[in-house]
Amino acid sequence: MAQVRQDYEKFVQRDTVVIAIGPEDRETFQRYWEQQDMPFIGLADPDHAVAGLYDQEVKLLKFGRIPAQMVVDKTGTLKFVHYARSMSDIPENEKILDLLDQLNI
Amino acid sequence: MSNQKVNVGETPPDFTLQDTHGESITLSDFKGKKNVYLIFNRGFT
Repeated sequence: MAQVRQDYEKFVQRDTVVIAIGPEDRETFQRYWEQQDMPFIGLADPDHAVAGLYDQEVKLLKFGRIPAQMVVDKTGTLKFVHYARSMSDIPENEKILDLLDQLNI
Repeated sequence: MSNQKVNVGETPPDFTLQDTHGESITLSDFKGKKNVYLIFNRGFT
């Protein structure tokens, strides 16, 4: 998420809303969002309700959930879906920004 | 990757959750208005 914060303005310029969903409860989320001054939308999903809908893998004995990233275009269609293979398997911002450029043509 | 529920070209499952300001955010509300970059986080605690 720190990676996305760095380039947040570039997402905004591309007419894109950034939404992060995490497993913490709302209080923890709120505290973290304030501490880190996160500019985008943060949604607490402590019951894994949404993570379940999207089949995000939950590894209870490790470090929580395996990350996943998706891009939805303005017609409400998924244009990019990435389920990470490991905790550090996160797509580069450049890749996402390039895709958004294509969607905005 | 055949066991994943969500694929490119599909309509993503809709959801509503409260954000850090207590506002309800619904994914489908952005349809026709904005692209959405959805990040499923591993958790920060």
